[in-house]
Amino acid sequence: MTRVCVIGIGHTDFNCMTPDVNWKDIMYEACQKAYADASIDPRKDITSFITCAEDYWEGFSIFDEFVPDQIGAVLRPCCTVCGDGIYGLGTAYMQIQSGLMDVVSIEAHSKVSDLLTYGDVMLHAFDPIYDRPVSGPVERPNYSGLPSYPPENPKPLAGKTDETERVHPYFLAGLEMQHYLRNTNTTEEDCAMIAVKNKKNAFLNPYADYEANITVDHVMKSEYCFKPLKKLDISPNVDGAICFVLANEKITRELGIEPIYLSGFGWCSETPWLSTRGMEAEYAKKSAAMAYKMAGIVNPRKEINIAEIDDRFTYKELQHLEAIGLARKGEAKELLREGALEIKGSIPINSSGGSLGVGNSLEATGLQKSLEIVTQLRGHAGKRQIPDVKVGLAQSWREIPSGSGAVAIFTRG
Amino acid sequence: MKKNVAVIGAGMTIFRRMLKETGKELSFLAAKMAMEDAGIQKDDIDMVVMGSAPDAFDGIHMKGENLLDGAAAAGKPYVRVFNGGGTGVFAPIAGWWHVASGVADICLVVAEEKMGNCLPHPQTASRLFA
Repeated sequence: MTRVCVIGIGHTDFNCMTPDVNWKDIMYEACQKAYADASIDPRKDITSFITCAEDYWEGFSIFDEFVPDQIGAVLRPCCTVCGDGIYGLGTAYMQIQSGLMDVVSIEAHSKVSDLLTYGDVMLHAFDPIYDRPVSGPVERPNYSGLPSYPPENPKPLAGKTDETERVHPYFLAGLEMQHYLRNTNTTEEDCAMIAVKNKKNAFLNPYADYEANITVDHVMKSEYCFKPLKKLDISPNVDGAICFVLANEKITRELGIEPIYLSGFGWCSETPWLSTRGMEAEYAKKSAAMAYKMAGIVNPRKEINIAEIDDRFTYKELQHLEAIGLARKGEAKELLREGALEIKGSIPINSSGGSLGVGNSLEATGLQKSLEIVTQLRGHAGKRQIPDVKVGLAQSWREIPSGSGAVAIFTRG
Repeated sequence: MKKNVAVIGAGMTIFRRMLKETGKELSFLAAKMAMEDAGIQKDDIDMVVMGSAPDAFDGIHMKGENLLDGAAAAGKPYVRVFNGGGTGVFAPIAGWWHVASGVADICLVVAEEKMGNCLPHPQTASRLFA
């Protein structure tokens, strides 16, 4: 059975605004860097190309049609995986394991700064008959700019005014946060500590965009957006692109590259219906179980040295930590309070800064997290390098309103 | 590691310019037919692949998520893949590598499209965001 290795990684800087480049430019930059990192020529050496994208985020139908030029895929097998970057990694794994492909390029990016109506696009993912109306009236937005009926306390994402009468879909995260805090006796202050930790870690990450020296007090005093979620509990959006190149072990050795193995992956989707969805991150639990099994990990708490956990909202980091088995139920806050999740702690979480520190890069989040794990395993993490890491885990969630997520496990040597 | 992969069941709904069923229901009808043909239950399925092209046809962002319970995928590993008009042929290929790689033993592949929703005509989906 061949093993699948990461032979190249490349990424752009992550910025909240990128007016000087378009989406093709950032994809090109990330892919060029990854191919240079692997010392390969995409026109000769790469057998398959995968882009992880959703049409609505891009503003195009059949997004993969517009992808080949800038990633080197013209007249090559190229497809779209509608999912987070880790779904792309898993697809590449299967392509290589089945013997169909030898070298696969996976790309994911976010150009969310182009979006004028992020919340409304996200609202389009809700079931149109039963779930979308929960946010409020779903008639066509009023382009004249005049409200058609009195707005009833519209709840915009803090810092941005929204002229529609709909509630931003992030309200779902507020509801789930209430559930999590109540069930695990976690406090809002605990969640605030996650924001403090991750934004502080981001100072050590050259490409992060939202590094900040804040205190728990700052977070607690930031305004409530979707109670109990406060402004600083929410990852702000960011643009960026990442490319990974995977290959089978034979080619990796031929290229003289020290293998970092993608030793396991998993993904899972809960029901799409909001009314019957659980609030326990079951998707994370099942994806992790699938990945652990594939990677031969029996005791995750002992065997995982470092993890990048989805922290789109502060409470999510704690919830996911418990769901994937790195903490027992209700224990995540204990680990946090005793400093175990810090870079110098016993199980460093989100040393890159996570989405809170780097920014929310939509479907590229899983690749950003994988990027950090591979960088750490290679020993290239500079000031935030964690010593002696051999096994790392990257976990991502496909964000509201999905109940889908994925896990990837990387090992060195 | 290449395993020999067999197609053990198949099902297909009628094709019409406009059907009353939702995309979810169409997926269910086809998946049910295929599972009955193969003589398996939902619990026998390890992973599910959905092939469905532009979201704009349905007007649902991340429509793969919306379709998944119709495709017997709730609680399972599920991925939606596409490459435009080639999706119908591509989805079984994706299903193939799920099994040939050894990651899944039984993989359900559903290819679905609901273009009747797109007004005035599905061709406008390619210009919907222009």
